[in-house]
Amino acid sequence: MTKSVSVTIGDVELELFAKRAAFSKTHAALFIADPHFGKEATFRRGGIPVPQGSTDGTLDTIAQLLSETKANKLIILGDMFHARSSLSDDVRESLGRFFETHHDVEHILIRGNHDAHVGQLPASWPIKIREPGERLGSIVLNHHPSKVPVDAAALFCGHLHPAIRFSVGGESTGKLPCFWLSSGCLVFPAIGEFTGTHVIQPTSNDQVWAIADDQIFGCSPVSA
Amino acid sequence: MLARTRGAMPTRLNNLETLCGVGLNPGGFSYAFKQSPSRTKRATCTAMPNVTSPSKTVDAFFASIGWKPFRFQRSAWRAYLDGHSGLIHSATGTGKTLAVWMGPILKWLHENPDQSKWNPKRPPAARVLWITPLRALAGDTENSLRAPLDHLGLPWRLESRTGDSKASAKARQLKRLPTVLITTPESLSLMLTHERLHEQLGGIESVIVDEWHELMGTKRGIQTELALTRLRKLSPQLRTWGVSATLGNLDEARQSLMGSHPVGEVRLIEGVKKKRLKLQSVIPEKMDRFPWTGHIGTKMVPQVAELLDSVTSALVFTNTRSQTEIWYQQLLKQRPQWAGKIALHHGSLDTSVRRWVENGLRDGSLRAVVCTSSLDLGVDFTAVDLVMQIGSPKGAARLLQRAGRSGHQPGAESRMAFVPTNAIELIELAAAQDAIQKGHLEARPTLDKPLDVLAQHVVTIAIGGGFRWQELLDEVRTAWAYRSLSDSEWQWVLDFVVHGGSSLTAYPDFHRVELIDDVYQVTQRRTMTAHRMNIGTIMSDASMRVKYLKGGTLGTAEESFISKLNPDDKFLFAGRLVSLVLVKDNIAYVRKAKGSPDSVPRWMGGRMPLSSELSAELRLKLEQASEGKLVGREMKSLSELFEIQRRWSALPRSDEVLIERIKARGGYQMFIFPFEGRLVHEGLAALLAFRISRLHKTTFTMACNDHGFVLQSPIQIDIRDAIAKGVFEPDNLEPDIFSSMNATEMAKRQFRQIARVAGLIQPGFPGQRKSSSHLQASSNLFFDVFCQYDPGNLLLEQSRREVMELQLEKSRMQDALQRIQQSTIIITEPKKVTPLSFPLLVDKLRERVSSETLADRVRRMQEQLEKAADSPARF
Repeated sequence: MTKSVSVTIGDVELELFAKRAAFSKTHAALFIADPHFGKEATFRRGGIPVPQGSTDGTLDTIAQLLSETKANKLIILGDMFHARSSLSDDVRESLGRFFETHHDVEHILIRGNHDAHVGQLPASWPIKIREPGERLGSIVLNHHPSKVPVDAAALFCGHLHPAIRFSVGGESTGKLPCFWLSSGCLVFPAIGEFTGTHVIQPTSNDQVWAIADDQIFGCSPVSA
Repeated sequence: MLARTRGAMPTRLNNLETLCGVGLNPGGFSYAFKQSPSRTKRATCTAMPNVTSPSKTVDAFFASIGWKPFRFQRSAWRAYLDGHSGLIHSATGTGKTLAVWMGPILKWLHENPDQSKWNPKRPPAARVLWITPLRALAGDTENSLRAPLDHLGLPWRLESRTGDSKASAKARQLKRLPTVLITTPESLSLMLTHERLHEQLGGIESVIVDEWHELMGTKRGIQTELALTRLRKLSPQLRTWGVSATLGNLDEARQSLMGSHPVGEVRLIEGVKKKRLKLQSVIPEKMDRFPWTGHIGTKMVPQVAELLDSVTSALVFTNTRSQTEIWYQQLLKQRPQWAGKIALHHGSLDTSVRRWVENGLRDGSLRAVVCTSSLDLGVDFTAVDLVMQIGSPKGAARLLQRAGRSGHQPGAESRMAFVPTNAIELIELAAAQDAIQKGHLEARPTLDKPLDVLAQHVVTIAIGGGFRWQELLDEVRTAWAYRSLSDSEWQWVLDFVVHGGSSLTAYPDFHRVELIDDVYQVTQRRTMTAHRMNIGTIMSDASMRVKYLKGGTLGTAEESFISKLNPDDKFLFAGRLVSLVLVKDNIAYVRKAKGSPDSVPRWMGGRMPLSSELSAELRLKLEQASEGKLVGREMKSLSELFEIQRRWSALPRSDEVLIERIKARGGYQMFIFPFEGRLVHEGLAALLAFRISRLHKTTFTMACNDHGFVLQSPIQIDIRDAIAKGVFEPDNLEPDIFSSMNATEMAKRQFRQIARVAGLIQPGFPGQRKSSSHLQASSNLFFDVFCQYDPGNLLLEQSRREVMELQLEKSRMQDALQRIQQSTIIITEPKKVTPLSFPLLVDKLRERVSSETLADRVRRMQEQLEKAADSPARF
């Protein structure tokens, strides 16, 4: 178990981080999925008390990863914001600061289902919005998991917030967020701090990298 | 081994006639807590000319049903007429309902003696609120309350208002409440959100809480306490009456019901204390084949079926819902001709199924119903002539309550047959009989100021007309649970509902309650709707409906169970074998299946510990056994088992604690038997492991049951030395528990309920599930975010406190440690596993003392797996 693992998918070499992101050296790109920024603001608007902080926490993680990897591209695989009401004043401010600090990074958002309801992002933000299916070399960038086109090596996506649970002799790990690779489709764990998970049922041909605290480890499922 | 042939009698019944009471004691007595200033006022209420006196009318009613009022009933009526409040406690099925119900009737008869003026078309305004703990009971309650009204021809209007009531009826009631309204704690709270009801509620003469023992000590009980403070505010002369089974802490029951500032005099009225009870144990034909461990007990099925042959109608109580399903199937297998004649009943079944079963019990058309605590309460099944208890009774009061389900009428005899699932349980039954005989019944522990329920109540009052800071604080403090609520705790709760948390800046844009002109109020409609939806959710756990694909609901199962199933997995549910088709929109669709089940649903909450009263009796029973005194058939039948235990190790006296050390393949095992109940043992095991591992570097695995626990370590532990160094010290208990157990995980689990009650988790609006889905998050997520960004949140503190008090029974643990300190420790080294340690050895629930991080734990588990399978981690 380490803080990151190197994997190869087709011809794509990739570093998977326990911080729930992946880095491609070839493209100098950092990939993340489902940050759901401002989700806590949406909850407060809806009358549910959730403290501030998780948006900034998520942004801090991304900032650390960017400086660690020296990536010059940040690719968000959908669901950047949680809902329209997520763009509250404080969240705008935090994001504004983030973009200012990382003005030399190219930001790309692949539109996800939540983003569809958010509306226009502030024009001053240096972020390009792309439709799912966008290519980066041999990688297809998507939000929803999907079949890998024959002419591509891999498809990166999010949406599911995958997690896995395994147990040994009655002791269970509980839900561990994970990367899930199934026939070339790599599903990313959600990077947002205030996001839930969905337990997946991988098949025997799949590969899974689970995350426990700040450690990541590969495990190959065996069908029951 | 236990080689002995028993007699040829197929079923050995152990008759203990009238052990638990010497017949009916209709006298009863009552006593007042304050001296009554005067009793003479009542004398003015004499019969008027041309009118029958009210008490004669009531006597006539009693005569019509073939009864005569008991003295305790009369004293309750008198107290009511005198304007007093009171709590009536009495055995099940002894006329408690009439004791409390005739008071209001008599009073009205006194005030309205002239029958010619009674007009059923103009029923009197709201007078009595009747609170029932379960909405399923409302219908039965309505019937039994209606009987005297009909007989006397009273022009009263009697209605129910529960979650099951029709919207049209509810709307009508909002305009004009009936004379008597039967309702649940949730519906009562909901009523308080309607300001326009205030005037009518202000005219209420009394509130009557049925089966208070079921509510007290629970969050619904606290919700009731708070609602009562409001009712007393609206109607200052309100009488509060309660009905309860006999408990170990009746004073607390009275105080929590009446509040810390009761209006007028409060009386505790003792009804029929002892009901005639005939208790039998079904003792296996061959004790040598009877297992030392296990909890399903299906070995006993043939004997149970034989016993059922001889009765008209029986209730077969089990301890868990899964056991219910299994026993139902096994009985059908044993007697296929009983198909349609036996049924099962538990809290997860669909209401219509439960209704059908209850009706079958009422008219006696069902021979037996296998059930859980879902039938512990209220419902009056006169046809039932035998109650069976499968497995440990866990508590003396519980055993009595269940036994009382048979012979459910004054004067009748209760019959109970106890069916042990393993040998040791026979000792538990013997102990329970002693406890009942001595009157050592369990206390219901009360909860201390849970802030989640208070937060909910505060929003309720804010919607129902608003409040001022000091005013509501004074009112809330009259609730027993909140009598010591501090100003700062109160301020925190208000901050929580107004700002979201203690700090103003951390929760921008949050508004639930607003402070306008010093009045806390709710202005947003959406908040009101969400809150009203939320009030009813204290009870429900995350559950999923189980439905046939073609329609027809079977019931609900816990989400955690369904989520572990794969499509086509077969499982037993509602007495049927079904297979999962798909899960959609929080509904599990199933179809009928053939073959054998892959699993039986496991519902949580079935792991109740042995009560401390019963534990104490159990220790005494073992002491008697150690002295060779075997009283009763249960104990006698175990003589060989005791002999083996004594020969191989020792039988501890009640002032001794036994420790058995056995060298096994996996390491060194230490079996420790404090006999304090499973929860205490879980805590003690972790505590001991933690404290020993501070002395010697080692890891422990452990298992616990109601009698003791086992610690296994790779190295041998010098336990004498460890004890001398203070591993059983009661000091530093709390910090040591927190370091020794994964208390954070436990607090997280406890937080689930708190998050729901405090309104963090919004129930889906019917018909608009989708639109609120972006406001759904799991309580775990809330817990994590609070821990990280608002660690001072008092709801977190509450979840930790609830873990300490409710899950780990800290005070019981403290007592246990104190007792162990004063006991003699006996250490034996048996060559073989003894009857006492065997059940612990086979217990599969093994936990590990862990102060590891998640990553450490996963790493260790991974290594374990690799060692076992010589392959990478598997699922």
